[in-house]
Amino acid sequence: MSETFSAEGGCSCGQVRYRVTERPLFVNCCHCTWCQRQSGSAFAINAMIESDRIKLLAGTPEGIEVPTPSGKGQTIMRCPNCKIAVWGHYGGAGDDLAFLRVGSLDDATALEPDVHIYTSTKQPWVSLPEGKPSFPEYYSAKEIWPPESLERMAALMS
Amino acid sequence: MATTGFVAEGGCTCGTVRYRLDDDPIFVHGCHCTWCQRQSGSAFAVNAMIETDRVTVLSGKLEEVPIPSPSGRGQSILRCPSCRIAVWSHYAGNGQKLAFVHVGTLDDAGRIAPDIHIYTNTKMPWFTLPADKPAVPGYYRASEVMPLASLARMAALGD
Repeated sequence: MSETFSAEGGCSCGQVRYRVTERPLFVNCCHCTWCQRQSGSAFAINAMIESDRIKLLAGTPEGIEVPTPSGKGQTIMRCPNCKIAVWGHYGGAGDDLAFLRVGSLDDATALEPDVHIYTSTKQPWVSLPEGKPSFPEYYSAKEIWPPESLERMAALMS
Repeated sequence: MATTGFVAEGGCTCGTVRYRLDDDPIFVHGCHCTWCQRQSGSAFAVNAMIETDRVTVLSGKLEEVPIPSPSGRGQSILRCPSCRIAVWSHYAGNGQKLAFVHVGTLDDAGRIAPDIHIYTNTKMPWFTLPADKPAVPGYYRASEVMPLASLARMAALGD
């Protein structure tokens, strides 16, 4: 079984608080232009985790539908007061899988990207860390995810 | 108004809000503070400081959402009322006359790189700062790092 992992996070105003109760499946650092626009930054850092491993401690995030390049859409979960995003669900994977915004953790250094994706549109001044895989676009999970993450993902989709 | 002829467009993710920068930014921060990490959901924010009257809203009506800031004086984030994507912010310190445009919302965000990296004392350890730009653990003194033309533009804002 996976090691003990627990981390808390929330929005900027304090209304929404959550606890992650297990280590995420995998952490994507996404350099696509859609993630740049959503974050306002050079990339997004999304920790993929089963939605039921995120325990809401306070508040109820509101889901805002936004378009995605796949056409399947994304629902971004935001604090209804300060509008800060805490996680998202993508149409492809459904509501059972959350893409947690790592920057919203109280200790955002608790997680670092396992892979860098869509580096074809990476900001030119951003350098990628050595020792982590990177892909010009997306990747095949079965080639780089740890077996236990693949098993958890399979259980989620079954 | 003397400008450099720099023009760049941007907007939210649903297309309701579109804007144009009518001049090059005064100065661009890569801010690694924990507040910017939370707001962006990422490792840092990239904020281009520019006079608000040099940002033209081409479509949509921005929604201003006040949020707390570490200074205690507050910040307001300007968002698309439909998809909620944030396009710029105002900080109480500089007021409504100065916009901190969220660079990732530009259509060609690669045109603008940070001039300085700030609050690197809370930088994510895995991220390597570019070697050719100044970096400071906290904030900085504008007079020591901003180009003269940028200092003049900041001074003009205070008038």
